Amino acid sequence: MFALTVRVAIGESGASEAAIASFPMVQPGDKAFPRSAEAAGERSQTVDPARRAIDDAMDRYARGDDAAFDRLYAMAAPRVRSFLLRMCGNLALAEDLTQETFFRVSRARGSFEERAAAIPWFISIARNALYDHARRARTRGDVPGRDRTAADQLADPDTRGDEVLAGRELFDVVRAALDRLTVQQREAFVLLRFEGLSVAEAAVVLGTTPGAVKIRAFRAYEALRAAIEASAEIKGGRHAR
Amino acid sequence: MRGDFDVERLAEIPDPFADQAGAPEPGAVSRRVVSATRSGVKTMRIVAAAGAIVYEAAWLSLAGLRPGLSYGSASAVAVAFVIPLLAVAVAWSAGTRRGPGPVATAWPAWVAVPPLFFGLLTLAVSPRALEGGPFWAGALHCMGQTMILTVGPLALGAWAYRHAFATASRWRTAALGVACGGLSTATICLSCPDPTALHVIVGHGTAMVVGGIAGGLLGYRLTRA
Repeated sequence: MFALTVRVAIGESGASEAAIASFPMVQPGDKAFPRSAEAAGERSQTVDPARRAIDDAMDRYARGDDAAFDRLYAMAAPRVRSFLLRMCGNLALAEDLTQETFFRVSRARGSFEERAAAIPWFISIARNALYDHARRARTRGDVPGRDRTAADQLADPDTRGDEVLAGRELFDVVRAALDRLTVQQREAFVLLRFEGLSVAEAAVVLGTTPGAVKIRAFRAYEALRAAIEASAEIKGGRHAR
Repeated sequence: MRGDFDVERLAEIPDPFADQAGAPEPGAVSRRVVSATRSGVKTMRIVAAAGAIVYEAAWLSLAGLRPGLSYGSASAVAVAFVIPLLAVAVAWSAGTRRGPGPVATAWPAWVAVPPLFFGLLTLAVSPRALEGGPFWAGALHCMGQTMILTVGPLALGAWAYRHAFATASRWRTAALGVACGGLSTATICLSCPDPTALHVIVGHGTAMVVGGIAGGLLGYRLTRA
């Protein structure tokens, strides 16, 4: 089994995060990939209209309709940014990498195949951009640290009620637990939970099998649930006193 | 291990980035490039394939065909020519297939299978007897020639497939490298007069391995989207 240790150091302008993960490229126990159209990166028959519109715009752009790019960007950039934000936890960096991703999309448009699903393709490219950024950051020797940007700044404890404060604490717990996941588990979890990809599509993006994606997502789920439960127990203990 | 895990349960975990993810639309894209369209890319790939064949043919016209090609050994040469071309077909189709498909976790195998297939089949059909000649001198000469023959198709392949692979770019480019090496292996058998199995495997077949390594270690930087 090949193993590559990847340090994903994220963030610019002094704001960065490090997630160190052992990155097995071949998973033991991975089984054969289903031979469905979706598994081959093709469009599912059940995709929502918004995704269908993105696929159509990308098709037109790949065929040479340059005017389709602006529409494509308007529809797809928020989704790409959302994926990047959940992976790196830094809105400014996610914005930069979204720009980089669409630069790469326009560079590679001729390789986008007919009837392929655009969102998994964009997310694969965004993932490449994120990894390249992490490698450059590692080469530069950026100091790992955690960005605590907008979400933290939004909340002012003095002016918020207990419920909001409790919700914020829960978010902090989930964020911290997400940081502790391996990159593999985090990717699988983010793609399935937040980006609305099917297991087969996530497998295409991650270059692995649906079984491996489910296992990674399950491990992430277990870790996150454990963190939430531990936090609730601590809070319960505090209230009891 | 929970391959049967119900992914719907992931919704139990709250989204700590919900407020930021709904931020206003990202600013307009700042960098654009003039890039080939889908039909342009197809044309580039056809041109690259034709260019690779012309490159091999040009080398062959300079090096000359092997003696006796038009006499009794034609069928043996045909076999020696077809075996590496089969390896090329396997590597090429693995490298350029859409999505990870059934090769998702078997990339190392798909890159290693064509050279192994070539080696075993050559061992089965080619004469093994050595006539006591200097093995390494001939093998190294042919190795050098096949490297020259591999460089052209590999460069053309990297050009035609630049920024083409969003996933598994390393393995896909390695498979393309194996295919380019296989093409040179097929070409040299039309020129090299030594048909013995060991010479063909070492002298001619090494190009597939080197092509695969070059593709996997260097070429992927060009082919990655």
